[in-house]
Amino acid sequence: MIIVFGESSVIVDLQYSDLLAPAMVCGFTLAVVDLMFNQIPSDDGFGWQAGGIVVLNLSGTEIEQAQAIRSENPALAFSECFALSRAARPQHTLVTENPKLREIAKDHGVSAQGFNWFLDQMGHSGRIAAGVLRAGLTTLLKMGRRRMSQEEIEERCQSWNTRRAIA
Amino acid sequence: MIGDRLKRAREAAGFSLRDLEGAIEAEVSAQAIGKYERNEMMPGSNVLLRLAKALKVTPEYLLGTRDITLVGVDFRKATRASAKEVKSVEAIVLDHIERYLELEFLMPGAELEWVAPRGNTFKVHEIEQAEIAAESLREQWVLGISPIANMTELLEIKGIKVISLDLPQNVSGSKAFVRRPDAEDVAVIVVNRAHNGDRQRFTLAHELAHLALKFIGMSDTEQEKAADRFAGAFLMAKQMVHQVLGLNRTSVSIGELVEIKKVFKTSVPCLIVRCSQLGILSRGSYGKLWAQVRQLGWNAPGSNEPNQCPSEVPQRMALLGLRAVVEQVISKAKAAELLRMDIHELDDRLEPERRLVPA
Repeated sequence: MIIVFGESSVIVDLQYSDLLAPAMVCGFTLAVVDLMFNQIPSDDGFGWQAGGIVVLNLSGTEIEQAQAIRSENPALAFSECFALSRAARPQHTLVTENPKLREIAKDHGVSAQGFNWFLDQMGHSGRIAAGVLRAGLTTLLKMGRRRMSQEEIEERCQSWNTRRAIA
Repeated sequence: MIGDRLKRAREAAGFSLRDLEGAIEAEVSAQAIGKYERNEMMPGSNVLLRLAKALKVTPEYLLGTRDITLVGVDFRKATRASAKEVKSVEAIVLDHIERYLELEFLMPGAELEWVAPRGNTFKVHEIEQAEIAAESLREQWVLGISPIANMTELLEIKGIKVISLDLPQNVSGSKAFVRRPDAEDVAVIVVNRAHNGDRQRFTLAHELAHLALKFIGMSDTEQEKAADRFAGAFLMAKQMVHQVLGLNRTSVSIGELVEIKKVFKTSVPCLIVRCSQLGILSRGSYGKLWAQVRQLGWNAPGSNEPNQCPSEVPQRMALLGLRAVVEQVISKAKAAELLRMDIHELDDRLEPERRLVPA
């Protein structure tokens, strides 16, 4: 599955929480569209690519689609519309913290999920220890970057352990 | 499609189709670029990004669909600004205003409209009438006689979009109007970002004159002089200048003016001219002070005059963008796009405490 991130802050969260490298071993291709990649500072860009983030191009038709989405939804950024348009390809899922973007994606028949769903996928993959995820989420919590309480983090970790045990 | 904007940006950059093909290292042919401009074809994103980079515009600008144009641009002291420089600045202004208007559109109630003052006072037939017009505008805007703390903020509150840009050193600024279909024109003032606050404030007041006054039967030179007179009177209200300097002085020292400029946030040459206009200085004192100013190089670009006021930075658009994110009207990605900020800077502006990454 190709995960197309809808905004750079999701990747920044993965970096701050030391979860970017673990995310790479969970069996996904993690990607951003080139328009978004173009907007980040070059130091970050080198780090992302070195960390395994793939940069995706759009065809002219996909750009026209993105432009149309943006005309209908002026509150969206072009980079978000690019991500949505590119994520319409098979085997792609858009991951975004913007609920409006998820809603519009679903209206266009595009698979769209939030950051917590992505964490669940990591947890359920069985390829990384729940302790790593717990530590990462706790770091984000301390930095005020996630609105998830410590109890919710523990509950989530428990769910990942349970699911793996059942599997 | 991107045709109109691509063509406009290419022309602003002074490129032919062949030049542009060369600038993107023949990633696509001049014929293909021509097709993009005629909306016969849409480039892929890799080509789009390269075109934007070569034309020194953002991809978002090329993708925009808002139909706006810039009219009435009149660069102050722009005789030495080349046509290419003027076109390039116009393109940047349009891009900036487009983002600004979009932000206001997304924040209902945020739009502030410039309404030019009405009345005979603002119809100016001769230079001296600009003095009365400045007093009247101060009165209409309930500014009293106090110096103006922040010209940029004042003009933005009055519905004028102020843009601070890198301009050629010899260009102070310009007023302009952004024309849009089915809506009022938007008044804009562009100032040179590199100039100190003293100079910027005078430019802003001068351009305000061009927006607020109706010059009747005056030559271009007279209009410029009247705008200067208005600027001096607006920044340094007669009554306040009299209170600070007195009604009539036999002598004023440069050192005294260097201190007084902190009150009005204007340059020493402006203060000298203002004192002369108000009859505070005799012709002899005026000439003596100007000779000193020339000797010190304070009337020339790059003046190292003491007590220079820091440059004024337009804040309204950024504040509006941050408010829109906090109120969840737009996403961070959208705010970053509109404010041309990377996500780290946006995070820092929204929540500075996050800079403290835990060990």
